[in-house]
Amino acid sequence: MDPLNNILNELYQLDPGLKNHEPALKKIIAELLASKPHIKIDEQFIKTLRTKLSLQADSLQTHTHSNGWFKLPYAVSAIAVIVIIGASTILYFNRTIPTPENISSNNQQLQEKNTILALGKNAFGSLAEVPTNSGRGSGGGGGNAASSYMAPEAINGDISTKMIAPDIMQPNYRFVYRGEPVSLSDTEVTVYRRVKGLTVPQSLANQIAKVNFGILNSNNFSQAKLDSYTLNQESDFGYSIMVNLSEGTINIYQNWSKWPQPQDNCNNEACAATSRIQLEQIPNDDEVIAIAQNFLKEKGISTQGYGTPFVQNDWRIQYDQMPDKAEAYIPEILNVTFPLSIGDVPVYYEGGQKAGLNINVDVRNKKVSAVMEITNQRFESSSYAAVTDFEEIKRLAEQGNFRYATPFQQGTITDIPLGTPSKGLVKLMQYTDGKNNELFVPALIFPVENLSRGNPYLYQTHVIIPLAKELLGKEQPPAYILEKSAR
Amino acid sequence: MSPEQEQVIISKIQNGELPLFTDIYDHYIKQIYGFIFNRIRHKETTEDLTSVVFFKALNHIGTYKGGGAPFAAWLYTIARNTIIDHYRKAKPQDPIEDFWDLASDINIENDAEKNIQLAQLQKRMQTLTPRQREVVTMRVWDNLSHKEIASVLGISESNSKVVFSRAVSQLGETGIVALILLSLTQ
Repeated sequence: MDPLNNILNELYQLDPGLKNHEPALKKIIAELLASKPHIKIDEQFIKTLRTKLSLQADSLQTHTHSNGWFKLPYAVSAIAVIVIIGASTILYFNRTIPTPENISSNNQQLQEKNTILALGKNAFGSLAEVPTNSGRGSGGGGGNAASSYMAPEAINGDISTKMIAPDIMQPNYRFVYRGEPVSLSDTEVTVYRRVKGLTVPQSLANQIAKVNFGILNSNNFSQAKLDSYTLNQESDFGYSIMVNLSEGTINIYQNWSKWPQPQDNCNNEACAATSRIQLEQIPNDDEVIAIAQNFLKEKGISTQGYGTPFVQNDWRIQYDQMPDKAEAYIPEILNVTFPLSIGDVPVYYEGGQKAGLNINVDVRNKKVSAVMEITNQRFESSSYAAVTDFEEIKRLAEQGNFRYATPFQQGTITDIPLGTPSKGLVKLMQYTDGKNNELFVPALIFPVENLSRGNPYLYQTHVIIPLAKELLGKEQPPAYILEKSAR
Repeated sequence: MSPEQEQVIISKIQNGELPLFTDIYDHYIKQIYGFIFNRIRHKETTEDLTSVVFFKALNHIGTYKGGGAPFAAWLYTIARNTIIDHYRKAKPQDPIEDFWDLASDINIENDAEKNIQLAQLQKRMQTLTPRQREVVTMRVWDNLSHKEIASVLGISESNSKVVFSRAVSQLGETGIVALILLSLTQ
């Protein structure tokens, strides 16, 4: 019923005589309703406040001791609980199907699309504390990824020019930019940092932290708290679910002991060869994606915030290049990536592949064998000074990466064209104050062209150069073994 | 979210599942924002006070007793008290009842005729008592039930209905008089 008639009916229930004045009452109530201010609420305000409240709730949760008795929703008598503080907890659940009423707070967080809390400038400290490459695909996935030529003495002026050559003589590739001119006008870029943490009900965490094993009594460790745990499925093709609460990540792997391993029964190469995957056993991409999607749907793992999934088929580049297909690598595991975007900007690993939710599909058994990087999508953002000199960016792109130039080996050099870059975010790890942080830094994504044109060992699909000023100009030599470097 | 689902979530929050508070937030943010804006009429101040309301609610949710009083009423009470505190800090010497009026910048419409009507409505609202104005605003603009209004204002539900009925009748009478006068002048 509409508001006006609702109000009228309330009035008539109270005083039926008011019906005699219905026209006037209708008029005045209509005027009152029409005079209601038009309220336009800022959606960004709603999201920002939600994030702040969520952080406050998490903070309160760690300092709250429940007085209530926590009722496990599953059959307690069927559970064997083993707790190792700070390491892993193994629980066996007799589960019921999840219903909306028992969706946990963890799933609520994992189901959110990006929520971003804006902080002040340079809020994450120095971005340059990035000691290692991040994630998968770093380094380009094989081969002597193209690099600009560097005279050996340019690596380090007082180091001997003698180098111990790598075992494999690989081709020299040199990236050359062939794209359009690019103008970089923004003096600042927005860097994102993932907000870590998942929660379990505090009462459950408290119970686990107080277990007395006899040989060890957890109660003797004050202020100990649950940090991570593992669930193992003891059924055929079961899984191990590893939950890291402080990192805010969940990874699912095969419970190896419950999956068939045919090569374990082999003790010679001939036997192993018979169990090797053949090309015709590789399913088409649609089938692989369907296996992944059905698994996620069945297990209630949300893909909200991720883009259209695709199969990582880089292995086919190598396969096509191999003259003897019998020797070519055919994977037993195919990877499906649900690509992540933050604010509609795609995220990449440093090595050039798209980052996101990763699902491994076991080709032999046509089953999902792993789901990696299930995380929340809560971020903080902060502005940092940006590079505006495209020539510098181009120089680093032609180097193949922003960290170091790899000297060429003896032999011919093949030019590999780089196309006009698009904008993206590169996922980098920052180690500061004893913590590992996941940063997502705006970057230019240069596509590597001519990948399949008979260029062996060239698997790098993109060259990624970040646009945050303080990350550039700090190239270090690669960790070659140099004669005098032992000094 | 049904009242039953809401109670389940609130129970879980009070039992330690604090992150579920965002469900409550999602359900009430627009209503509380609107409640505050209707009385403050300033975007930035409304955002500040809305934030204060939800942080207070989160920090004190353990004190919500239920037992018949709707949770919405508890939340609106926090909002109302937050507005009162805001006005007391801003203008401590003015009677608090004056703040429950329609804001003077009500004529924000582009339609000139509507502005005239709204101005006349505001004049008629001045003939009501502050309590009547408050009940009318909460019922018509904030769409609160009389049970919720009663809980927020600390009166009985039947009292809320009576106050509203008299207020509307009074507005209607003056409206009828205004209409008669208007027709005589045309």
